[in-house]
Amino acid sequence: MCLFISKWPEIFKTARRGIIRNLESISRDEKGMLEPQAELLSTALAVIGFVVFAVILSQAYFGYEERSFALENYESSSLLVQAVAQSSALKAENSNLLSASTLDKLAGPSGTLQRDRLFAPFSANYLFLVEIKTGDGKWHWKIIPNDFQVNSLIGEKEKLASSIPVVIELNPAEAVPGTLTVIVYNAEWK
Amino acid sequence: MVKNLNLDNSAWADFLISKAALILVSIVLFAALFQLVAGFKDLEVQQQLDSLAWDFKTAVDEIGANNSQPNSLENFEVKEDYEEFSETFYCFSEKEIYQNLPLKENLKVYISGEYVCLETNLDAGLEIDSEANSETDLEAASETEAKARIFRSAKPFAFKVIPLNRFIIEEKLKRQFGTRGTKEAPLTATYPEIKAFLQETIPEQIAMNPEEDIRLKKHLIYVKDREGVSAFGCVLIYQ
Repeated sequence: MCLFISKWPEIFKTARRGIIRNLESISRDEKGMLEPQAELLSTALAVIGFVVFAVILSQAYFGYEERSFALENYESSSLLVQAVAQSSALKAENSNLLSASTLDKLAGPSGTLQRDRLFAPFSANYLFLVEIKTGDGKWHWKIIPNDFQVNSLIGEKEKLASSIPVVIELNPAEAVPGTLTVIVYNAEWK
Repeated sequence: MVKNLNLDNSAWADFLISKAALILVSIVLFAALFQLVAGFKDLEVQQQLDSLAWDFKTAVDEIGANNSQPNSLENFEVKEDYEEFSETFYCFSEKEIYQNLPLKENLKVYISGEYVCLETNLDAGLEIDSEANSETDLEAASETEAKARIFRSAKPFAFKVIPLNRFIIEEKLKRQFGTRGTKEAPLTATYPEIKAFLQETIPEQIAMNPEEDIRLKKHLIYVKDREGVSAFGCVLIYQ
C-alpha cells in the first residue's frame, strides 16, 4: 500500500501519457470517418430494396395483364364452342350429327345466309371463327362470319381457342369423329 | 488535443445535413409505402368489382349458351318445346362479393346490349351524374369524377343481349318490320337489317337496381327468308 502511494505520481504520469497517445491515435484514425455515413448507406440500401420490390410487383402485374385475355375469356370461349356445336345450323336434316354438306355450304362463298344464321345469336364483341376438322385430317372447314376481316387479324391479335369433340356425317352411310374449334380474337369492342 | 476536439465545430454542418437527408429520405420512403398500401386497397376494390361484373356476365352467357339456336329451317316445328324458355333471376345483393364491397350502397349497375358496367364511388360525399348530357354538366361531372374515387368495371357479353322485356322488343319489331318476330308472325327482313335495327333500338345503357332481382330470359326471334323460317336466340334482361 505504501509502495503504491509512493509510486502514485509515476503511475499517474504513465496513465496520462497513455490516454493522450490514445486520443492522438483516435484523431489520426480515419477508419471512423465512415461511421456517420453508415446510416446513409443503410437508407440507400432500403430505398434500393423498395425500388426492386416495386419493379418486381409491377412486372408481375403487367405479366398478368398480358395474359388476362386468355384467363378471362377461357370460360366465354368454352360457352361459345358449346353453343356453336349445339347449333342446328351445322346439323344434318333429321340427325343430330354435323353434316359435311351443310359445312361445305357454310364454309363456301354461297353460304352468306347460313353464316348470318349461325352467328346471329352471338354478340359482335366476340370476334371468332369456327374450324371443324375430321380426326384423320382429311377434311377441314373454316367458317368465318360475313363481316369478319380475317386478314387484318392474322398474326397481330392475341387469340384463344376452345375445342369440343364432334361427329361429322360425311354421307348418310359414313360418320367420322372430328373436332370443332372456336378461335376467339382479342379485338376492340364494336 | 481533447480541448481542440471540443472546440472544433466544423463537423456540425455535415452532421445536420446528413440527418436532414435521412429524415427526408425516411419521409419519402414512408410516403411511398403508404401509397403502395393505399394502391393495394384500390386494386382490391377494383378486383371485387371485376369479379361481380364477371359473375353477372357468366350468368347471362350461360343463359345465352343454353340451346342458343334450337329452331332453324325446316325442322323448327319438331323443337317447338324450346319456344318458351324459363325466366332466371339474378340479384347482386345476394352475392358474397357484393356484401363485402365497401360502400355497396353506392354501387350502380348499367346494362346495355353489349356489356354490363358496374360503377362505385368510394367517396360517399361526391355524387357523380352519370346521365349528364350538356357540355357544362359533362365538365362538372368529369371534374367531380377526378376528385372522387370512382371504380368501374365493364364486361362484354358473348351472346346477343337486349335490356328490354319481351313485350317492348316485340312492339318495337312490329313498328319497324310489321311483325313481332314470333313463330306465328316471323320477321321478313334480312339478318343484317335486323342486326342494324337492334343496334339502333337498344338503349345505350339502362340502370338497374342491384338490390332487386334482375330477370334474365332467353327469347327467340323468328325470321322468314327465302329458305324458310329460322330463329335466333337473344337474352332479355329487365327488372
